[in-house]
Amino acid sequence: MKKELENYSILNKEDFNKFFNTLLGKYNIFGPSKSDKGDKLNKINSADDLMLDYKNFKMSAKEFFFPQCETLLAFDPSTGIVKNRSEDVDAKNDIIFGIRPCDALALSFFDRVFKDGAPQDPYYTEKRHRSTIISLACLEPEPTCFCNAVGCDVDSETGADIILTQLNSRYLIKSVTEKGIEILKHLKTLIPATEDDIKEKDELMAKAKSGLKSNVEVKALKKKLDDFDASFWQTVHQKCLGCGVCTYFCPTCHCFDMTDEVCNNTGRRIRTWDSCMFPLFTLHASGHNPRPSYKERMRQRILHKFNYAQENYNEIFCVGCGRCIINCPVNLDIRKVIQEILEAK
Amino acid sequence: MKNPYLPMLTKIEDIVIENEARDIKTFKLSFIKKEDKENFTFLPGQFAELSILGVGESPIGIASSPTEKDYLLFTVKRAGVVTTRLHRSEIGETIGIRGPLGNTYPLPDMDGKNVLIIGGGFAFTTLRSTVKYILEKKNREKYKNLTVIYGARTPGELIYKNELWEWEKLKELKTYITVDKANGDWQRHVGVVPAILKQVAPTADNTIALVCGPPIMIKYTLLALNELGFKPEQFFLSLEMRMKCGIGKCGRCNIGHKYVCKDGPVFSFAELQKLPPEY
Repeated sequence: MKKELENYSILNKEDFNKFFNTLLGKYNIFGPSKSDKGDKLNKINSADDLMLDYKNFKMSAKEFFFPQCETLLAFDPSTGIVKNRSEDVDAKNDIIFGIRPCDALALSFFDRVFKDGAPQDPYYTEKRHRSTIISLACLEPEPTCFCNAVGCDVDSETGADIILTQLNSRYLIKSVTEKGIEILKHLKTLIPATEDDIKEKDELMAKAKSGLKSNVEVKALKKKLDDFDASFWQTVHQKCLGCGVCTYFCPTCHCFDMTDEVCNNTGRRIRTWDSCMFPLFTLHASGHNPRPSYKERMRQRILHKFNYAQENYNEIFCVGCGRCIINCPVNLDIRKVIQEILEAK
Repeated sequence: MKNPYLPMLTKIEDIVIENEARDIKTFKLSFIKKEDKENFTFLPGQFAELSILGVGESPIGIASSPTEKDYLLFTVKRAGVVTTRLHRSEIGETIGIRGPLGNTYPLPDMDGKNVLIIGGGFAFTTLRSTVKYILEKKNREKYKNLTVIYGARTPGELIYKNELWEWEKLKELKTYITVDKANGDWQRHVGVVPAILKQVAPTADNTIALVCGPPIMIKYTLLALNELGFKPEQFFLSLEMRMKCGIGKCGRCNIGHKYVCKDGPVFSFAELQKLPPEY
């Protein structure tokens, strides 16, 4: 076998159920399901419920690893005794099946924050260690997709352990990591891929890429964003209502709040998603707020993604999934914001 | 894997009301578990998240020195939900603590140098830790002249008063205590901290200055230091920001690409000049 074909294998469509059911025997599988029309990651109990012709999840895959509301610790409110969060750990590990390459890339950014940066976040890291990511290359991007503009792509591999591409009558499977190779080992349903399969994939990907219409160019953006007091900040936020929807749907937004609650004589310290678009996010107890208006808060959101993440991680914390565009109640389009900034004098 | 979100439990050993307005209290805490006490190693400038289970957490600078082995001191101004609840706490109550968090004053880099401490109002907590640390016999010989300039609005608003009067008597340091407005039989300096700094005029030569105080004091202190010939690399500020996790994950205390909780709270003025003025 040629070296470049080594990590590829083929799964015929008629063998898919068998392949999937073998994995189901060993792992808990989460993916897009027919029962909720591919809205979000769901537990999949049979190959028939899996929905592989979906476009993308409404919510990103981040909530699986970083739930919107998560218990950090429990305590007895009368004695103050802290109990480490008790969680029944399933004997089976998890497979995240069929998330789009943009969501997989976003997970790699989450890794940088929660897993690779000391100290490790134990809640995120534990879930991440027990899961394998099988992503699904995009054949038909949506009009709001702009992954190619931010360093992601229809077949981007970063963050995935395995990437699956739907060819005409079969699936092309590529192991990206050791974890991926390990899972596919000894699966009898897989047969070696040929150069023709790769060629077919390349053609499909080229066609998919041609469907990405965005022409924003983020390379030149950093320099513009280094000017903290640039005049464009006076205008780009004006449409924004500050509702924070963009940050909740964003697969890379990782900011959270920590609060205590006591209910039915059980206390919990929980973390919940929070948003830099809210004034309370940075309000000091003294009343001082370093980001008092929409202008500063919009600037923070854009700079965190397109400037600070580059300084800290050499990455742009945007994967071009377009969820912030789809869900914004006033049609604020981040592509246009970037364009406006680039064109500003 | 160590869980950085789990608080260690401490007991309140003592509470001191520090000021006339009675909204600043110092809590003396001791660890309940021996291993927690042994693992909690810190240097002046660091902070910790104090928590009352069921109420929440609040980031507070450590006011005791690492040389004070048996307890930790936290001086807390009553401001928000958690600090208000803390102020209602009694001796013997349990307080959670996560830390130590953040970086430290650049103590290792201050070897062989003069140390100038400038504090204002209630922002004297981690500076008190520093003074106490330097005054320890084995540390004192590492540093040259130690000068402390500390002020508050009125005599009643000065914190750690008994200790200040003790320091005035020591030959190991020079102490200048000032108030904006004198009352009663006040015999010490009168005038805002930057003005007293200019009067004292400590040399910038081979000196590191540590500054902590309200924004208006900081603003004019920086100007005064500049006039005295201090370079931005020579003076350090300790910053405050709304915080939650304290470990650089929750994303709210950033100034530019730096997190105050993780990269700070201590920054040299040279570092701050490179960051956006959003604090």
